[in-house]
This record gives sequence, C-alpha cells and structure tokens, in this order.
Amino acid sequence: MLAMDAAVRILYLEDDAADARLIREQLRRSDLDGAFVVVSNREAFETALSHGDFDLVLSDYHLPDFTGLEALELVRTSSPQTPFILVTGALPDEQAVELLRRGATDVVLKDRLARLAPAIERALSERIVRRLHEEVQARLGEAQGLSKLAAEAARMGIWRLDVTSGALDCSEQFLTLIGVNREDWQGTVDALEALVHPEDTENFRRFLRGDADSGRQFMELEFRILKPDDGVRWMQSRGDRLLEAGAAPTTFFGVMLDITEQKQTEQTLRDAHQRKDEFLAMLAHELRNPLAPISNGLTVLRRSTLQSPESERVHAMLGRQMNHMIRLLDDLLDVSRVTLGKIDLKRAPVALQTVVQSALEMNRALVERSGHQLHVSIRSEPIMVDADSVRLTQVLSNLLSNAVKYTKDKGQIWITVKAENERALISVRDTGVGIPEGMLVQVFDLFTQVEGSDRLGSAGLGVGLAMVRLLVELHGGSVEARSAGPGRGSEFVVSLPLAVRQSMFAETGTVASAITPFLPRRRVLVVDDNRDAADSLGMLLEVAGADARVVYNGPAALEALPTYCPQVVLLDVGMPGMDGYSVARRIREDPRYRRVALIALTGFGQEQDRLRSLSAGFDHHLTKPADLNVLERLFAKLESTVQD
Amino acid sequence: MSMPCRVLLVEEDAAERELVLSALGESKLVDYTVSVKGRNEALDFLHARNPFLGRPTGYPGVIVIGPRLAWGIGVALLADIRGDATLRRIPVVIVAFQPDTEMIRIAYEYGVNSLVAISEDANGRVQRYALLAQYWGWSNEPPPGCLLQSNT
Repeated sequence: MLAMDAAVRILYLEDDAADARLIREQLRRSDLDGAFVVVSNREAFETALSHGDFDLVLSDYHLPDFTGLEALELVRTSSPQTPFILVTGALPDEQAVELLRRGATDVVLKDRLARLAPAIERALSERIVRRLHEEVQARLGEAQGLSKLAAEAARMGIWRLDVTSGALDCSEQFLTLIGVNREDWQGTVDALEALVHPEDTENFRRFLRGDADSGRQFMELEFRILKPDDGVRWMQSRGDRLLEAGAAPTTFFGVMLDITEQKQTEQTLRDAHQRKDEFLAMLAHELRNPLAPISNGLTVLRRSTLQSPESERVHAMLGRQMNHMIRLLDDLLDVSRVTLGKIDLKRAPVALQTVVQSALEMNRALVERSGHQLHVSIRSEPIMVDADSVRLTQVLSNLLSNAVKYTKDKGQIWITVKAENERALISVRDTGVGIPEGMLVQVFDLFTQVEGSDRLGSAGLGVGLAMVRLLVELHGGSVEARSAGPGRGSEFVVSLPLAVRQSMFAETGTVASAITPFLPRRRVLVVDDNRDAADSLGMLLEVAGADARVVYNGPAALEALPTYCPQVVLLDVGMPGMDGYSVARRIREDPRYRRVALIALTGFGQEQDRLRSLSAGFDHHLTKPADLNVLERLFAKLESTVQD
Repeated sequence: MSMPCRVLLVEEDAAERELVLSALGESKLVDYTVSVKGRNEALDFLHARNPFLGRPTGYPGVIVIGPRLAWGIGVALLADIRGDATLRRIPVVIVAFQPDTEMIRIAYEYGVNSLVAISEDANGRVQRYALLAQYWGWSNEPPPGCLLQSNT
C-alpha cells in the first residue's frame, strides 16, 4: 500500500466517548495514529470542519441532534474530495448502500472494527491517486493554456476537422483571422470554404483531402479568403492528420496564419526587382544611343585620315574600348531581357561543333593576345542540340573569355565537348585564379565578382556568368562551376539535353566569313533626329563607298525621296513627330518606291520591335549602333537579290 | 463463432485504464471497449445520454469496475445498475485491491457477477485483466440486448 508517512489528520464525529476511545486505540495499533479530533455534536463538527484541514472524516450514524447522512452532506459540500467513512452499529444494507451512493467512501460496522484500518488506508490511497490525477490535469490544463497563449501571441488560429462529418472546430483566433463572430460561425468546413477565394477553392479542397495520393502526411497551403469586413487576406495553413490504426484518417488538425503582409512585402520586392530590371534595360538602351555616333566617328577617322603610328595606336585603343563598352551594354540589355522574360530563343537543331567554332572565332584575338594555350577536344560527328545558335555561342564565348581573363599569361585552357546519357556536356577548364568553394554557386548571381580575385585584363559588370546561367536554363540545361580553390583553376560545365534525332540533321549553318571590303556604290538615305548619329553614319557610309544623304526627320525624308531616289533608306524608328514606322508606311504606299530597301534602326532589339518594323514595311531591322560589318553584309545581300 | 461483447470499463485512474487496455489488446478486445472515468459517466453511457447521446443502441456485454475507482463509488454504481430495470441484467465485474469480507459480502449482496482480487504488482494485474477479457469477452454468453460487435 501507499506509504503514510505524514501524520494523518482525522476528524471523528462520535457522541459515545467509549466508542471514540476504542476506535482511537484500534487506529493506533494500525499505525494510523495521527492528529485525531473527536467532536460530539453538529456545532462542534461544523466548527472543526470549517477550521481544520482534514485528510479524512469518520462519522457515527445516529447522533442526538444529527445523522451521519447530514454529516456526509456537509462534508460533500464543503470539501468534496475528503474521504468520508461511516462507523456505525447495525445498519441495513439498503441504508449502507444509500450512503455510498450519496458519496460515502465506505461503511464500517462497529462489530467489525477490524475493517476500519484497511478501509481508512484504502480511502487515503484512493485520495492520493485522485490528487495525483488532479495535479496531472492541472498541469495539462496549464500546458494547454500555455500553448493557447503562444498560439494567440503568434496570432495563430487552430483548427480541427472531422473529415466524416465536415465539422470544423476552431480557436477564437481562427475566427478572428477569418473575420467571423463565434455566434455566426456554423462550425463546418463548408462554411470556411464559402469564404475562400474562388481561384483557391480547388487547392483548398485538395489540401483537405490530405494529398492522399502523394502519401505526404504534412500539408501546407497558402490561400486567399474574402473577409467580410477586410477584403482579401492571404492565409497559410499547415496541417497534419491524426493517424488512426488501420483506417483512413478521419481527423485533421492544424494551424493557420494571416500572411497578407508577408505576401505584400514579397510583391513589393518583386515589383522593385522588376523596376530595377526595367531601369537597367532603359539605362543600357540610353547609353547605347550616344555610342552610335562616337563609334561611327571613330571608324570614319580611322578610314579617312592618313594615320601616324601614334594616332593609329590611339584609334585602335579607342575602338577596343568602344567595342568593350558596347559589349557591356549588350550584356546588361540581355540580362534585363531575360529577367524580364523578354528573350525569345530561335531554336533549331545545331551542331555544337559550329557553336564552338563561332565562339573561338569571336575570341580568337583575345586568346592570341593572352598567349594561352588552347586545347579543343571534340569528336568529328556532329553533337546536335536543339538551341538558339547565337545565344549558345554567346554562352560559350562568355565562358571562354572568362577563362582567358582570369588566367595569367601563358596558361592552359581546355574546351571539351562530349555526349553522355542523353546530355551534351561542354566543359571550359583553365589554369586560372580559381574560385573559393563558397563562391561556386554565387558566381552565377547577377553583379557578383569573386572578391580579391586577381583580375587580369578588363573586368565585367558581373553579368557574364549570370547571362550564361540564364541562357543555359532557357535552353532547359544547367551549368556548374567547379574549382579546387583559389589559384587552382576552374571549370565550367554546361549540360544540355541532346536533340532527339542526332544524325538526321545536316550541318548547314556556318560562320559568316565573307566580308565585302567596300560597300557597293548605292544611294543611301539616312534619317535620324539625332544629328550626330545621322551625320556620322552618313560619313561612315561615304567612307565605305556608298553615296549617302542625311536628313533629320520624317517629312524631310519623304521630301528627299523623289529627287534623291535612294536605293536604301536607313530609318531611325524613334523620331519625334512622324516616327520611322509612319515614314516606312508612307514610302511603301507609293508604288514608285516599292523596290527601295527599308532598314529600321532602333535601340530596341527585341522580337516584338522586329515584328513591328517588319509589319510596317521594313525589310530589315538593325540595332544601334549599326555595325559596319553588318551593314556591309546586308548591302551585299541586297546586291545579290537585285541581281537575281 | 461468437462475437466479442463490448466492454464498459469504469476506472478513474488514466494509468490503470491504459494498463487494462494493454491487457485487453492481447485478446483483441481493445477495439470493443469503452472506458469512462466514473459513476456518472458510466450511467451516461448506459443510458446513452449527454456525451453519449446517439451512440449505437444496446448494452455492453460486461461492465468492469476498475480497482482505482473508490470502493464506495464502485458499490454505488453496482447498486445503481441493479436498481435499474433496463440495466440490471448486465454482468458486472468488480476488480479490487485486497477486498475484505465485508466488501465481498456487500458486493455479492448487490449482485456483482464476479469480484476479482488483485495485488499492486503490475504484471500480475495485466495477467488478471487478460484472463478476465478472455472469459467475459469471449467465453461468456451475454444476456439478450447486450451489444455485440457486429452491431446486430
């Protein structure tokens, strides 16, 4: 039995002093000798009960002014947990059981006092068990109170769903979140679903099905609800099912949070990001405009004047820096376009051999100047990918020029192309400055430069690798940087899906290499409101051998047409007043000028601009600044079509 | 083959309830057992009222009064059951720690079907509970109207 170390306090109601002595003796023999208070009438009993804190009450049944039953009622009212044992003379079983039904702990007959001590021990041990139980309950209540408090502090709603009946129990906070009063709350999942934003209803239902198909136990959903008083709010709910042995889950429980503010912050960030991208695109575009006349002017100077060796060097330097600047701006524009989702890949089956060849040609001068040894390893049969060859060349060219830039003179660079497991793998490896381990992923982030890297030659804006990753991912591929650490070289591996039918594609595209030294003698009308740009382009064309006339607005262009009879019109589309599109349309409306080649000049090189100019009647679309090589090729093409 | 009856376990102490249920698991009776904490809850269940409003009809095949329910409450519940014309046929088993002769006498006076004396030793208790379940759950033929698992 349970230990009774603490002295037991017993209140005994008994009017017979002899009986009281007898019973006390009985208890002493059973080691139940604690504080023992004997009272003999109602008044004393009531007083004792109100003052003392007793562990147990013993009571006679028949007293002059009082009965055991009344005493029992008193104890049950004042301290319901205190055991009450009747110690009585003969008592019919019916009365004894009636006392038990009214809450007596036991009934002991005076002629069987041997039962008394065990009955008391039993009653006390039952009481201890009950006390423990109450303590546990109190602690549990406290814990529940705490978790409730925590949930409220976190403004977290708690819910519990009975799947079978659709009953949804929820906390006050939950109702606050959805903006429903307790008295209006119908307590069903349907009532909640009625508040869910129509676009999210489907997901909401799937959420409550518990993704049974996926076998996932923990569920999470973000959805909008239409709050009667507060408009649309974003909620995030996480839940779990109560697993019951063998059966399908019938109970789900979970928490819910209002994440509207978080969502708004996310949106603000996204907007800011978008504005930044748009700003960059605009900036690059605006910076390119003044570059056009400068670039043209430089070319004119180089071609037209007799050069001293010194000015030749200066011109070469200016030209290189100009080209570098244009490349940087192009990179910026490209990145902006990709991040704004404004790049369209013109995908076609292309052999990686061609891509490698183009990239090598683009960087030949750079590689030769650097004195690096370049090893190219690629098998002879074409490795075909479904890609935009221009963009893919850009990718490889970026990686190659990086390898050159970040490798000290007379280093080694390896380009390896192979096909493996349905993937084409292009690796560019160098013996350069390497990449610290922590930067291997970051190097692909926009505007990231490896800190402390010993930059050799001209550095970029940190857009090259970002561009590589964006373009590779647009192609459904991936790119990975590897390095054994700083100073130990690096390797970039591009992985692309192989084109489905490898051998079927005949190799067609080759790198344009035919360069006409001079433009054919053609009459070219240049129309641009930027006088510097127009004049310098006119001069450039003259130097290159064409016959050029320059006007600065649309009406002047239309006016010049009948007298000058140009064969080619180079039209800036972004002129104030009558823009290039209107001028083009007007020219095309006149049957006399049907054979005039119209070339749009614009700072915008995006696909929709191209389409727009083609629909306005242009034959070609060039991005500023017009590159002389491109113009030469274009003119050569015009020549050949005329001859046809 | 007979189906097991439902068992109504009346036990105040949660740990003791766990112990009983773990012992019942052996005889696969655990799914057919309802446990309540005290006399009032037991009567609520038997009369299908309050929290048990709408429970499947019928009565348990045996009511087990656990050892941690105060003895007096157990006897009072037994008296309640025997004094109720609709409940009086249900077999009642009282499990008690070292009952004395007076306790045994009054329990039988009020129609207990079985009085099982147990000790504090937990293993011994588990064995007793398992034995009880085996007999009252599987072997004893309950009176008419007592709920069978098949719900017929």
